[in-house]
Amino acid sequence: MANMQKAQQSQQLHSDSHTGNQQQTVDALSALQALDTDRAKIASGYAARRTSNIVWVAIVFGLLTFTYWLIPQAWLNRFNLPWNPIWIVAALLVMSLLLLIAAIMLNSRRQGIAPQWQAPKPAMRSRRYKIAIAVHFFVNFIPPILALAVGFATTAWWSAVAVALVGAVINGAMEAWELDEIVRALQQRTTPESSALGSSAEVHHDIG
Amino acid sequence: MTSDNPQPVFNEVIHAPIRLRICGLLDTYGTMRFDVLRDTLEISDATCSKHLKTLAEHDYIQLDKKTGDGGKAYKVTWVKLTREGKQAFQSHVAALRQIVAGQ
Repeated sequence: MANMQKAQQSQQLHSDSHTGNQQQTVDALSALQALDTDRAKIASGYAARRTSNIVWVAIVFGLLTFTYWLIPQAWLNRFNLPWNPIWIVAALLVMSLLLLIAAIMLNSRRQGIAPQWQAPKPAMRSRRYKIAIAVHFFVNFIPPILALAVGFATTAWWSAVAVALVGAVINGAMEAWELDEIVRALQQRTTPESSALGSSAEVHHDIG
Repeated sequence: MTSDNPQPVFNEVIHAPIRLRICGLLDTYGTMRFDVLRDTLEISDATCSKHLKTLAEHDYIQLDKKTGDGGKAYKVTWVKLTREGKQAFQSHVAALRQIVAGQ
């Protein structure tokens, strides 16, 4: 009789500790899932601002590429201006920079976060995002080199428009790729599969 | 310093659902405005303040009150995770993963 009672008590203790562990696992799982849900919310914010971000980047880099086209014109003083044309280049550079800062500030104000020079942490850890950044870095050199070469070759207005468009499109496309990778990284589920819950399910089968 | 493989340490202060989510958002975003934090979590001002106060008491977050845009009279509160907070949050998440993985 005493032995039976002891066995029952030990079974009860085992069952309690098992239920406790299971509850702890469920709590941990739901906590991690809540974090994933919040990150997905942040991702939808990035997705919502995708178009406006791309347009801003295209404008700024289109203007910058046009500035590069102007450098040879100013250097060779092809427009026969009575004042040093390098001032136009300087003014355009400053304007591009101010536009970029304005875009960053407006974006962070809209999001309610401090201005960021880097993507959110999950994106910074993503290999795909790093590849997008690396490709952007190298592709970034194409529009200025092209603009300088074209600027030396011709003064035609359409060449200025063409190089500005090349700069805008290339950088806009790269920005789109980066934003897609940011959204993908933020939407990624980080909660691990629960082996503990899986094994407990098997235990329940025994009861039946 | 925070690392990519933090030591799993279960943290009772951070484990409360709202506080965990606050730390999660701050860990992802860096510095956030109080109202954005409150709206993202869909909680009231009072609840948000209460949890932020608890986290601040443990030096896990830093609260900065700054004058509103254009020098307006109201103050805007910015919330930032401290280094200790980052470390504690990452260790806690590692502990949660460990629990879920059944280790």
